[in-house]
Amino acid sequence: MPTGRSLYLALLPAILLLTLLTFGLAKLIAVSFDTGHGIGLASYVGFFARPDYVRMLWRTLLVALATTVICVLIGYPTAWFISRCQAHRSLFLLLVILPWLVSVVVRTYGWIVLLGNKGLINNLLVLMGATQRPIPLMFNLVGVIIGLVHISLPFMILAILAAFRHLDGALAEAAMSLGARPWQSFRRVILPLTMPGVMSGCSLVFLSTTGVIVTPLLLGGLRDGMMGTQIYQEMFIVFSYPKAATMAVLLALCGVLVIVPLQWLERRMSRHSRAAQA
Amino acid sequence: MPDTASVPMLEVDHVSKRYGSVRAVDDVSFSVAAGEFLTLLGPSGCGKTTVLRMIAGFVEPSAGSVRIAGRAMGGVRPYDRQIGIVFQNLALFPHMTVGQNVAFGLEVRRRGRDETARGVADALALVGLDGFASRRIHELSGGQRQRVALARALVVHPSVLLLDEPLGALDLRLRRQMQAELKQIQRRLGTTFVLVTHDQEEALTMSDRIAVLNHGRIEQIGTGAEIYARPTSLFVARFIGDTNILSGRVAACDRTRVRIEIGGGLGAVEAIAASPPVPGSMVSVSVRPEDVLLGQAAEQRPWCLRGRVGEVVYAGAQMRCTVLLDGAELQASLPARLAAAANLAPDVSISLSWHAEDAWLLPGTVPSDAHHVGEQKQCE
Amino acid sequence: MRLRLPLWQPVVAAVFVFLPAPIVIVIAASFSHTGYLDLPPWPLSLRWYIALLSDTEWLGAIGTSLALAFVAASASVLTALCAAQVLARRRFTGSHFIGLLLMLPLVFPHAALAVVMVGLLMSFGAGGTFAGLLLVHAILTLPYAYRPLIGSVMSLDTDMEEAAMSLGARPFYVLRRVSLPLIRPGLITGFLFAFIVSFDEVTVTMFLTGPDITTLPVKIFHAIQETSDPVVGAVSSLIVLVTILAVMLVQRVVRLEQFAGHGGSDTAVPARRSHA
Repeated sequence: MPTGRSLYLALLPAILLLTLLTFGLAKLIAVSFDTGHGIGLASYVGFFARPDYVRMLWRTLLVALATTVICVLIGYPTAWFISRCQAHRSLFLLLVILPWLVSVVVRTYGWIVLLGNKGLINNLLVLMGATQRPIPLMFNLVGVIIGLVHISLPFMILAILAAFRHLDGALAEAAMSLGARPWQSFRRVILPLTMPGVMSGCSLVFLSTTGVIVTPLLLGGLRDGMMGTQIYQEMFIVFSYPKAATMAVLLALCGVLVIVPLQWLERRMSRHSRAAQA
Repeated sequence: MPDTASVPMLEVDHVSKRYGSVRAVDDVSFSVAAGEFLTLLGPSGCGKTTVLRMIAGFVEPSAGSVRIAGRAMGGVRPYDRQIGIVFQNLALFPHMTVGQNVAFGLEVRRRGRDETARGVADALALVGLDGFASRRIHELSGGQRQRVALARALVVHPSVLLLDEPLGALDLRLRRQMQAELKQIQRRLGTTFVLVTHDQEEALTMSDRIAVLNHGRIEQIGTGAEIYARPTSLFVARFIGDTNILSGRVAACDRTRVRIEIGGGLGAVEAIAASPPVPGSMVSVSVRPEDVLLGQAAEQRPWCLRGRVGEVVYAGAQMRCTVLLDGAELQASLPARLAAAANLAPDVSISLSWHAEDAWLLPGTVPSDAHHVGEQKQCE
Repeated sequence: MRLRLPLWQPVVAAVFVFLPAPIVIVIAASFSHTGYLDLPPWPLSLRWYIALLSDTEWLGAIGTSLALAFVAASASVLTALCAAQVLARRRFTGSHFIGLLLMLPLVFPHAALAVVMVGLLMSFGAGGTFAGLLLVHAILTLPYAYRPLIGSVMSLDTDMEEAAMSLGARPFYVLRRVSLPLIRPGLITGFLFAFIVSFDEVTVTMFLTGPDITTLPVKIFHAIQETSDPVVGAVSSLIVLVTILAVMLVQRVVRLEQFAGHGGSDTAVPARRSHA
C-alpha cells in the first residue's frame, strides 16, 4: 500500500465532489437569504405568511411521521421473522431487497395499476359485489402513504434486521432462564437491544419521506401537495429558484430538527447495547 | 556485499522509537550473527514487536539505525530489505492457493516459471507439505498454515527471518512440535532468525541467545543458561522461570559470597553476587524452587531458616510445596521420592536452606507484598 | 424464542404479499393486450415490447440510463475506494467530517438535494447535459459505494499488505495482487449498488434533464404523468429485469445478507461505528 503523505492525495477526488456538493449547499442557503437588496429573512417570512404553505409543511411532516410509524409497526415483526428464519431466509431477504432496488417510478406505476378506480383491486371488489362504486384508493393521502410505505419499508426492515443480527440469541434465553415470560423478555431484553436499529431506520425513513416528489405527484390528489411537490411546481411552473431554495432549506432544517435527537438517542442506546453484549 | 563472517547479519544500533512522549523502544542495541537464532522476550507492551517492525522497515526509528548484512537500512523500504516475516496471525493470502502464496515472493522478483515452480516445491518440501500446492488456505489446519507461512517467508532466502509470536495460536502440544521443527529448519538452512515471544519456555528451548525486554529497554542479553542462572535484574529473574525473591540487607561479604540479613528478623541467608556489594545496602536474593533444600538436608547446612509447611501439591515427578515464613512465603520443589522421605504435611514445622552457589544476589528490592514466591510472571 | 402475539404472523405474511405486489402487477400488465390489467387478463400479448423496440426515444433513454449508471458508478466507486483507503487508515483533523459528508446524499431529503443540484449545475451551465447528470449521479451514489468499501478496507488485515511488502512487493503490486482482490466483495457490492441507485434515480434527475437528454426513469415518470403510454409497462418490466440481474450478480459474489447490511440501512458513518 502507498504509505506516507502521498496517501492523502487519494482523498482528492472525494474532496472535489464534496466541495462541489458543499458549494451547491452554500449557494442554496445564500439564495434563500437574498432579499434582492441585501441579506434578510424576507423569503422565509413570505413562506410562513401563506397559510397554504404552512399547511403543506405540516402535511409533509405528518405524512412522513405516519409512514415512519407504519413502517416500524409492520417492519419490526418482519425483520424479526427474517432473523429467526432458518430455511428460505435468503428468499425472504430477496423479497425485501428486490422491490427496494426497483425504481420508484416503476413501483408507483404498479400501484397506479393496482389502486386506480379501474385498477385491479377495485375491479376485484366490484366483481365480487363487495362494492357498487369503486373505492377511492388513489389521488388521496391513502394512496400516497401506501406508496411511501412501500418505498420505505425495506429501509426499515434492513435497519432493524442489522440490529437483530448483532443480537446474541443467548440473551433472550438467559432472560427466560431467569423466569421472564416471553413478553417480558421481549420488552426488557430484545426490544431495548434492537432499538438502535429502529432508531436509525426511523431517521432514514423520515428523512427520505419528507423529500419525496414522485409518489405524491402520481398517487396524491391536487390538494395533497407536499414540500417536494411544491418545490417541483416552483421550479417547473413558476420557475422561481429562490422560492424553491427557501423551501429546500426549510425541508432540510425540519429533517435536522427531527433527526438530531433521534441520532443522539440511537448513539446512547447502541452504546448501552454494546456494553451489554461486550 | 561485505564479508559475512566478520560482519553481523543484523545490527540494531541504539535504536529508539517515541510515540509522542511515550518511549516504546528506548535505546536498544544488539547484533545477531549470521545463522544465529535470537529471541526478543518480554511481556506484552515491552516494545519487542516495535523492534521487529523497525527491523522490517514498517516503522522508522526515532533514533539509531538498523543494519542488515552491513548495509544501513535508513530510508530503505520494507520491500527492498530482503527479509522474511512470519506474522502473528500468519497473514496468508486467503484468495490464493498454498502454492500461489509461497510463489508470491518469487513472482515479485520475476523469477522464471521453472525457477518459481522449483522454489515452491523445495520450500513446501522443507516444511513437510509436499503436494499441498493446490490446496486453499481455509482447507488447512492451524499447524499446516504455520508451515505455509514459514515456506512463503523462506522461499526468497531472506537474510533475516523475523517471527512475530508465530506459534501463539496453536495448542500446547502442536506448539512444542512446531518449536522443534522450526529450530531444526533454522539449523539446516543456517538462516538468521529473530523471534519475538512472551513465552519464556519457547525462548529457552529455541534460541541461541535471548534478549529480555522490559519497558522498551533491553534488561539482559545472553544465552538461555546465562539468563536463567545469572539474571542481572529482578525483572529478568522473575520473568524467566519460577523463582523466590527475598529482600534484605548485606550483612557481610567474602568477595562474591554474601551473607544477607532478611527483613522481618527471619534470619540470614547466603548468596553469590556478580561483584562484591556494599555492606549494609539493600539487595534481593533470587533462588529457584528446585534449589531450595528442606528438612534434614537444610539442617545439615551451616545456616537455615525455620518455617511452616503451607500447601503441598503433587505435580508429577515433582512435589511443590509452600513454606510459610514470618511475613514471607517460599516455594520449593523437590523430587517426589525425597518429598515422601521429608514427611511433608501441612502445618508441620520445617527447616529450609540452600547452597550459596544456587542463590543469586540482585540489586534492588521488591515491595514486601510481592515477597512471596513462585510469583506468576505472565504479564499478558 | 417466539413471541406469541396473535397479530404478528398475519402482518408478516401481508408484508410479503405487499412488497412484491406492484412489481408483479407491472410485469403482468406489460403482457396484457390493452397494456392495462384487465380481468380476465387475456389474451396475452407482446405488442408493447414490440412497440418499445421500435421507439427510438425510449431506446435512447434506455441507452442514456445504462451509460450514465455505468460511468457514474465507476466514478463513484473509484472516488470512494480512494477515500476509503485513506479514511480507514488515517485519523486526522476533519477525517470524521469527510466521512459524514460522504454519507450526506443518503440522508438529505431528495427534493432539497434536487434544488441544490440545480443550483450547482446552473453555475456551470451544465444543466441538461450528460456531464452534468454524471456529476450529480456520482455525488448521489457516493454513500452507496462508500459504505461497503470502507467496511471492506477496514476489515482488510494490514498484515496481509505488510506480508506482501516483506516479500518484496512494491506498493502498486501489493494493491493489485493483495489489497484489491481482498476487498473485491466490497468493490462489487459498491459498484452494483451505485449502478442500481443511479439507474433508478428519478427525484433529483428529473430537475436536470433537458430537451436533449433524458433518463429512463424520468421518461417513465413523464409518460405516466402526461399520457398513459402502455409501453410504460414493458419498459418498467425491463427495469425489473435489470435489477434482478444485478441482484443475482451480487449474490454470486457476496451473501445477500451482507449486501443488505451495506444498503445504507443505517445512517451512522461506518468509520466511527467500527472504531467505537
